Parts: sequence; structure tokens; C-alpha cells
Amino acid sequence: MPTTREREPARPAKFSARGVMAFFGDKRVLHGIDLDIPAGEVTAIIGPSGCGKSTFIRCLNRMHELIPGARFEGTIELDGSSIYGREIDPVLLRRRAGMVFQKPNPFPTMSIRDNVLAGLRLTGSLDKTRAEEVVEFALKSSALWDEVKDRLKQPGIGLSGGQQQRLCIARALAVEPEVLLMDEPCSSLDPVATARIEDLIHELKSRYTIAIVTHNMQQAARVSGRTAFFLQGELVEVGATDRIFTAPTDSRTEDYITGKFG
Amino acid sequence: MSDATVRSTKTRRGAGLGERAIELFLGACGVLSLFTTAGIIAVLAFETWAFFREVPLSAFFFDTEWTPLFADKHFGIWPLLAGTFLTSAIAIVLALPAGLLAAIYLSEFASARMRRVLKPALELLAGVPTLVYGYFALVLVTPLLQRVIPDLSGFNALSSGICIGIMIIPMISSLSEDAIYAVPNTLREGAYALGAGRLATIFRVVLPAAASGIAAALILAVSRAVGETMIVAIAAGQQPRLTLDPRVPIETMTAYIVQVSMGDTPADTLEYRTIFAVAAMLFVVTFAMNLVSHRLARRFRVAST
Ligand SMILES: Nc1ncnc2c1ncn2[C@@H]1O[C@H](COP(=O)(O)OP(=O)(O)O)[C@@H](O)[C@H]1O
Ligand SMILES: [Mg+2]
Repeated sequence: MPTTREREPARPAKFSARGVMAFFGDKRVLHGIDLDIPAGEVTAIIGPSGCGKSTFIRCLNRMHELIPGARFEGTIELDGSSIYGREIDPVLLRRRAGMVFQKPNPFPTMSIRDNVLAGLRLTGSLDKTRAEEVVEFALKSSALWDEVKDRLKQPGIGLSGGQQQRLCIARALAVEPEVLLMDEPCSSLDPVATARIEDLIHELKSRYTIAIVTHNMQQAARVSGRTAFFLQGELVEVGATDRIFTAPTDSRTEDYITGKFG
Repeated sequence: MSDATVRSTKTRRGAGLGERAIELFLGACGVLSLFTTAGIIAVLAFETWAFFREVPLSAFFFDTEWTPLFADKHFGIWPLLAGTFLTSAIAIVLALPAGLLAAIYLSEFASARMRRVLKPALELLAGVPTLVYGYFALVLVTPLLQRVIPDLSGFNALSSGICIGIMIIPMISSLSEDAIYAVPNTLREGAYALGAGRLATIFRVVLPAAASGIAAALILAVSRAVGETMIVAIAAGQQPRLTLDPRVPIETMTAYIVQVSMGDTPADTLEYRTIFAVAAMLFVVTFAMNLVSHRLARRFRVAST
């Protein structure tokens, strides 16, 4: 493939994954993924259900290993240093790479405000004098401030689904991560709420490196600069999003984006 | 062919009859248990009413002595209430942390193999006859404690409370474990993804989310402790005394009821009726706690969906 070189991202890699293999017990579900997530850009990961998208991004913040029997092989570097080294504390890594899940999961016993502050509290790093500032910053960054600023003391689960998901984004942003990993963040939301999250991703991409898993190809096309296509635990193709959607080099990518399967 | 048809309808009708019979039988069982409960409440109410026609309510609630079997009769419920409170409080102070830690260990730390061994072992504690706990308190726990606390009486609230506590640990641990287990995993993941450690996740996210279930477990355990009879009848002393000192002999409401109903107090006397008044009191206390527990459990079910 003579053209691959010129399609390499111009930006430096935030995450750099090489030979990533992930296992659940004896079952291998990722078969050696080489993929860079460039800094300051949105990378979409697409592919049919069960192809290993979630598993891959859960390797990036070492959430994969929390599942009993789950195992990881390969290397992943963040800003050039390995995140799987023996001296690395996964807890510290997770503060650098926040995660937003498929279903909004605000903490049910906490108010909106406490949800935003949960990360700082749980890690014992909340500076009380800065609490109000952090809450306002995180809720403004997640475009939720105007809707909730008068009811910060009310429970987070009282919000609508889309608001809950933005609250979860605020919660992730409050710990000042460098990367946001989003695993199908809109899959449980209606089109209006989805559009709001997509707008939000556009606003956030100048400040954070974002990796978003989606099975919605229109969404990948709308929000991302680069797209990676996964199939059955392999990375089939990665490149600029408009190139992937207009001129895929692999016939399997073409079949997928034209809706022949998946 | 017609033969077969007839036979099949016959068997079907036969099965229908059998089913009807079973249905009727089960229905009768349900009605019977309803009548039993109603009957108990009716007898209780009737006898309590009879009691309060002779003893004014004020004597029951404002006197500080309980001596209905003596010549100088006093009918103040407080000594018995204090005894029940004391043994139950000791039991809960012991059983709540122990049961909760067991539940946390079982649900968040133990391997599947460990769980398979530990859970039934723990539940065995609940299956030990309370008579055994009673003698355990009297002949083992009290002498042992007397080495540390020299002025501990041979009969006392402390060792009964401890043994009631041991008895209700499995109840607290197994119900709390259910509540903790019902906390959706997505909450744990949310906490870990924020960089929370394991302990912070358990104590600040999982336990609060399970709190109403745990509270329901606690209240059921309290009403079990309040209702415990045999242990206190054997090891606590049968001496109604208005005190919160765990070292001296006391008497609980349940122990008093046993004392009178097993003794030679003639029925249809005022002395005999006291046990119904005490039982009514006990009933009110445990019933109120069960109500609260149901409320909490319902809220907990709603919260976890
Ligand atoms: N907890 C688990 N235990 C065992 N297998 C799992 C688990 N989670 C996912 N898998 C398997 O791993 C593969 C990849 O899953 P996943 O990464 O969730 O796919 P995707 O997010 O692309 O839909 C699937 O075959 C799935 O069945
Ligand atoms: Mg997935």
C-alpha cells in the first residue's frame, strides 16, 4: 500500500497501541491491534457489534483488567511512556484518561454537584476552596450549566437521559483529564440529546484528545477527524474520516460503510 | 379412536379436578394463616383490654418498677423495655459491623470458591438452636468475660447481647450482601474510571447505593434481636431492673413472658394478664420496625432499577 504513509496523522500520537491482544479467560477478542490516537483530535472507532471496540478503549485506561479473568498483551504508550509498566498505577492513569459509558451512570445517591465533584472526592484530591469553581467549569464545559445551575443540590438521577450523560461528561472533565474515552455515549439517547452531545464533542476537541466508539456511521462522519474500522478483533483500516467514508482501501470497510453487513 | 378421545378428556378432567383440589388446599392454608394471625391479634387485644381495665395506662407507662408478681405490685413497663433495649443494642453494636464487613468481603473481595464455603458456614450460625446460644452465653461467654470484667454478674445483659449478636450476624450479612450485589456494576465502573481506588469505590459509591437495603436488613435484625427469647431467659437473669448497666442481671419483655407462662401463675388473674400487655407492647415495637423495614426495602428496589 504505497499511499499509507501520507495518511499517517500529522499530529503526535497521544495513545500509541502496538500488538494489543485482549483476552476474556482463554478467549482472545483482540488479535494484535496497532493504532495511534492522535492528540487534540477526535478518533472514531467503528465496527459491528462484538468486534472489540469497547474492549480496545477499555485497554487504554486499563479498565479491561478489572473484569475477572480478563488479560492484556501488547504495549500501549501514553505520551511516549508505557501505561502497562510495573511502576504504573492504573488509578493514576485513569485520572488522565476519563471515560464515558454507553448508559449514563451518575451516582444515584449524589446530587448534581456531588456527582461532578465525585472524582476529586473519591481520589481525595478535592480542594474545597475551589469546589464551586470546578463545578461551574465542568458543567459549562459539558454544556449543562444553564440547565442545572439553579438545582445543583438535586439528585443527578432526576435529570433526563441526555442531561445525565452530559453530567457524566462533566464528572469526567472535573478531574482534568487529557483524554476522553467515550463508549457509544449516545446509544441510549434520542436524536435531540444525541445532537447536543455531538455538538459538545466539537467544542471539546480543541482541549481534549477524544476517542469515541460508535456503531453509528453517520455519527462517526459528523464528529471525528479520523476513523478506525474494527472487524472481529482486528483493525481493518484507519485514516482520515472523509477518506474512510469516500475511498476506503479495504473492501471489507467498503462493505461495512455501504451497509452490506453489520 | 372415540375411545382414545374419551380417555383423554377423562384424564384432562381428572387433572383439572386434582388441580382444583390443590388450589383449594393452598387457598385454605392461606386463609388459615390469615385467621391465625387475626386470632392472635384478637386474643392479644382482648386480654390487653382486660388488663388495662384494672391497671391504668399511667401506671404502665409512668411507673419505673415492674413487680406484678410481688405483694407490692408495680406495673411500670420501663424496666422490661430497658432490658430489651440493652440486650438488643449490644447485639446490634456487635452484629452490624461484623455482618456488614462479612457482606462486603463476600460480595466485593471473596473468590467464587471462598463464597461457596463461607456463605453456608455463616448461615449455619443462624440455624443453631437459640437454646444452645443461651447456655453458650451462660457457661462460656460469661465466665470468659468475668476474667476481664471482675464485677460482671453470673447473669447479665452483656453476654446475652453478645450471643444474640452472633446469632443475627448471618441475617445482616446475607441481606446486606443481597443489597450490595444489586448495586449495578456500571456504578463501580464509573467510580474506577474516575481514578477511584477499591476502598473508596466500595465505601463511597457502592455502600451508599445499597444503604436503604442495608437499613432494611438492619431493622429486620433489630426486630429479631428484640424478639429473641431463649437466650435472655437463660442467661440474662429474670430481674426487671431499670438500668443500662450491661453487667447486672436484667429482664427483657420476652423473658418475662416466658417466666410467667412457664411458671405457676394461675390463668385468668391480673398477674397472668400482664403477659398479654407486655406481648402487645412487644408486638407494637416489632410491628413498627417491620413497617419501616418494608418501606426502606421498597425504596431500595425502586432505587436499584
Ligand atoms: N465480560 C466479558 N466476558 C467475556 N466475553 C466478553 C466480555 N465482554 C465482551 N466479551 C466478548 O468480547 C468480544 C468483544 O466485545 P466488545 O469489546 O464489547 O465489542 P463491541 O464493543 O465492539 O461491541 C465479544 O465477542 C464479546 O462477546
Ligand atoms: Mg461495546
